[in-house]
Formats: sequence, C-alpha cells, structure tokens
Amino acid sequence: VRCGSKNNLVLSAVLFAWLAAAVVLSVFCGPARVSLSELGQSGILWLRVSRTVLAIVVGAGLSVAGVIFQAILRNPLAEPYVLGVSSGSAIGAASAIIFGLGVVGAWTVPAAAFGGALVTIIMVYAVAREPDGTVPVHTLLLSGVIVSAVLGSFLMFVISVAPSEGLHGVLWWLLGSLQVFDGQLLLVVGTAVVIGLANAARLAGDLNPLTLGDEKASLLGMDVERARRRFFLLASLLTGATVAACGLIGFIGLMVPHAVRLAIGPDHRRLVPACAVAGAGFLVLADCLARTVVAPREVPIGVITALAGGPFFLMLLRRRKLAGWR
Amino acid sequence: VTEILFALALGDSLVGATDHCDYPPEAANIARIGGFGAPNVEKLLALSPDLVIAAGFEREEVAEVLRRSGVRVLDVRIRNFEELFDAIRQIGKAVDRLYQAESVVARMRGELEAVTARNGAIPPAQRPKVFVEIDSHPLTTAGGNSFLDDLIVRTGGVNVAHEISQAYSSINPEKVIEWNPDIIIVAQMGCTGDAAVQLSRRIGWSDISAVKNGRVIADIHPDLLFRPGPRLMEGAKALAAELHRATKGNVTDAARSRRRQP
Repeated sequence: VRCGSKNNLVLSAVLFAWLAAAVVLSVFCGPARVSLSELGQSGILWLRVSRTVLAIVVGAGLSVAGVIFQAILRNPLAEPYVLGVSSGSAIGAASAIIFGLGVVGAWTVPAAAFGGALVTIIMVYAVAREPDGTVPVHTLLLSGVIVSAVLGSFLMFVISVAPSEGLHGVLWWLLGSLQVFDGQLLLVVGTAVVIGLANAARLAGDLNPLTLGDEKASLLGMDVERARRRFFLLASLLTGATVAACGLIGFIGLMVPHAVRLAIGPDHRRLVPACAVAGAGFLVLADCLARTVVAPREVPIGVITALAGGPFFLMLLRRRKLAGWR
Repeated sequence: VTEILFALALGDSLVGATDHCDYPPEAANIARIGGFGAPNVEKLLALSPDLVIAAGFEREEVAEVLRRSGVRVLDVRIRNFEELFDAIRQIGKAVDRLYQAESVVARMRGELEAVTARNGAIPPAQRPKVFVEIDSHPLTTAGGNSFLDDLIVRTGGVNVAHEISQAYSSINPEKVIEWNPDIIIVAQMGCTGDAAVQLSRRIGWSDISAVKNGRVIADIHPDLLFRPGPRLMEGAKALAAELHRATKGNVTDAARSRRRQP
C-alpha cells in the first residue's frame, strides 16, 4: 500500500479544488440573470446554495454507497440501487402520492420513500439469510435483483391503474431532481448522510479484506458477517436518505467509484473519502448542466449524469483496465 | 367532451366515457372505457357506439381500428378558445345538434367577451404578472401554448412563463423568484391546506410579491381551468375576479407607496 502523506495531500488538494470549482459555478449559474450585488439580497442565492448543498450531500452519499456495495458484494456492477432500494422507495413514494398522503404534509412523501427503501432492504436481507445466520454474497445479490424486478413490475402496475393526476409525481421519483423547497428536509437528509459518511470513512479500512473474499477476510481475523451487515446497513441508510430527498439519480453510484479507483487505486481508506468529494463535485456540476441547458426548464438530473459521465467513463475504461477488478 | 355532450343535452345518448369524466354528476352512471386518450378498444366496441368522440388518441392506430369496425370517429384537439369553439361545433355537427352547438358557443363566446372586454383593455404595464403552479414536484407551469396562458391573457393578466413554448413544462424555482409574479395560482390536483403558508416556507420564495401580499390563489378548482368544456367560463370568471381584485390591490399599494414618498 503506497499511502505517502505527500501523495494524500496532493490528492485532497485536487479533489477539493474540483469540488470548490463546481460549487462556485453552481452558485453563479442559473436561468435567472442576476448581478452579483443583487444576488446576495434576493432569495435566489439561498435557493442556489441549498440546491448546491443537496447536490453535495447526495453526490457524496450515492458515490460512497456505490463503493460500499461494490466492495461487500464483490461485484463491479453493483451500485446503490442494485438491491432494490430504487423500486422499494419508488413504491413508497408512489403509494403516498396516489393515496393522497401528500396532502397531510410536505414530509409524507420523502418519509414514505425512505420507509419503502428500508422495508425492501430488510426483505432482501431476510430472503438471503441462511439458517445459520450467514448471508452469502451471491444470494444477497440475486435476492436483491429479483426483489427489485418484482417491486418494479408492481410499481408499473400501480402506475398503470392509478388516476393520471398522480402519475406526474411518481415519474418524478423515477427521474430524480435536486429541486429543494424545504430547508428542514435538507437538514434531516444532510444529517443522515453526514453520519453515514463519517461512519463509512471511519470503517473504510474494513472494506479492504472484504473484497478479498470471505475466507481470506476471516483468516485475517475479521468477523465477516458482522462487518458485511454493518456496511450493508450503512450503504442502505445513505441510499435511502438520498432517495427521500431527490428521487432516483442513476449512474453516479456506479461510475464515480470506478473512476476514482482508476485514478488512485483500490485502497478503501483513500477511496471512500475521495469518492465522497469527487462524487459531490460531479453531481454539483451535473446539476448545473441540468438547470442551464434548456433554461428555464429543467432536464432530469439522471439524464445528465449518464450523458456526461458515461463517455468520460468509457474513455477511462479504454485507457486502463478496471483497476482493482483484475 | 362528455361535458360538451351534456351541454348539448345529449347525456342520455352517451354509452361510454373515460375514467376521468366525472362531471356533471349524472356522468357517473355511464360505462367506463378506460383512460383518457388510451381507451380499452374491446370495451369500447362492446358498447357498440355509432360515434366515438376523442380529444386526442395516444395512438393513432386506435382510431383506425375503430373506423375499420364501422364506428365513426371524431378526434378533436383543443388548445385554445378558438379550437374549443370549433370542437363544439364539430361535435354538434357530428351528432346533428349543430343549432344547439352554435347556441352553446354563442353563450360561451358572449361570456368570454364580457370578461375580455372588462379586462382585455388593461395596458400591459398594469397587468398583474401571474405564475401558474400545476405541480410542485417537479415545479411545473403552463407555458405559452397552453389553454391557461390564453385564459390569463383574456382575463387581463400576464403569464410569466409565456416565453416557454411547451404547454406544460418543468421550471426552475429560481426563475419564479426572478419573475416575481404578483399572483400565483396553485392549480394542483389534491392540493389543500394553506397554499400561501406552504409557498412562503419554500427557500427564497418569501420575497415573491404574490407570497408577500397573500395573492396565492388555490381555491379555483383545477377542472375549471384545465378541462376544455363549458365550465371553463366559470374558471375564466373566477380567475378574472381574482386578477381584478389583485389589480385594485396593486393600485392601492402603489398609491400608498407614493404617499410614503416625501
């Protein structure tokens, strides 16, 4: 492990410069043309700042959740939504919207989405659990993919029989958006994600043995099941919290971990914090594009993450084989 | 369309309606044939209608299938008042009630012109700026090619989103802050509670003139504003009343601020 302190310093400088540039751009660009002096006085500044904060929180949360899922499932295709969080939360949100719970308060829909995500994750875990308490990686992955597919079809069923007025709101969950209206929601989601990120950074070293396989990890003296359960919970919390705030934003949780791993290698102690910062910057930039390309209209953010990130990722892939996955 | 047929006193001849046709109350007893623009063709044919009137099929093939089964099909597209009047006439012609259709159109046109005459002459500078919120997640508004845009112009307002060509379009909330509308119409399905309070809690929205002055209108039923039928005139009148009240309020505001100046 080459982990020189000078190397780390350069890495942090580069990453934070990237994030800072993205934040500056994000605060100063938008469909409303406001002069610098006016910007401070109008509500627009607050709106942009809160939106940028949400992008940072969600970008970091999804990227780190992606790293964790790729490590514990030992699968390069894993991403935050692979175990059914996406369809579970969408069903939660959809039922809240269609049964008109949104009327009760602005909180019900995000809460229902988070609840749906948690129930799904617990279901997937329970299905994959063997009688002796172990949870084989492949069973977990399969169980997640199948539960996700079943719930996805159920969601389509709900949408197809729902009155059309509710549809719009449900589709929003599937497309994702960083529009933020409610400062309190931002605070709650932000706190949850920051707690998740702090724990992920603290435990990141444990991810390294997990990627070697269960046998080698336990030979290294690790309680594999316990560690995996812990990371599973952590990544689910991160994903669920982001979904509650902004729906589903695809691709970022898959791409950012790979891109960063290509750049700095597979050591999770560096990978986890680096992914958090890089992912935050990437999502902030993607959101800049989402609200400027057809301003004052908005493009679903997931479209931008895939369109902007995809070619970049392919280029990296051409230049080097996926590091860490042989 | 169901409402137009009822207005032509043809409610009794209706054998089927879409899942969304809920007005007038008598319409509740009519057999349902599926969603708007996407009917269940089997159900439709089982009712053996002589004529199917649609307001835009999602798939053109449906009209073709119906025609091949010997059903007459009339497909009307309604995006503004002229198209609405035209559609009512077309429907009247198709069901042999041209005379009634003309009188419905004449009555609606009369009401519309009364509203327009009262408010259409307001010079652009004095017209209240109106923002329409159709959905909050994501924030959606009615652009220049929408019925609502037409409605706002005729009732003496300015749709701030007029420059957007799409009828229904997502919109960045900061643009609304920049537009600083005098009036916000919340026309969201199932939106209850105090809309004004909810809007003022949004980040940065508390400075918008409409929010500050309590000009958030949420009590016009969305069906009166969106459903192209005879009831649109009720919506137009309600809207004109609100905009008019707002204009007077603005005048008082302006007068007050003038007085405050030394």
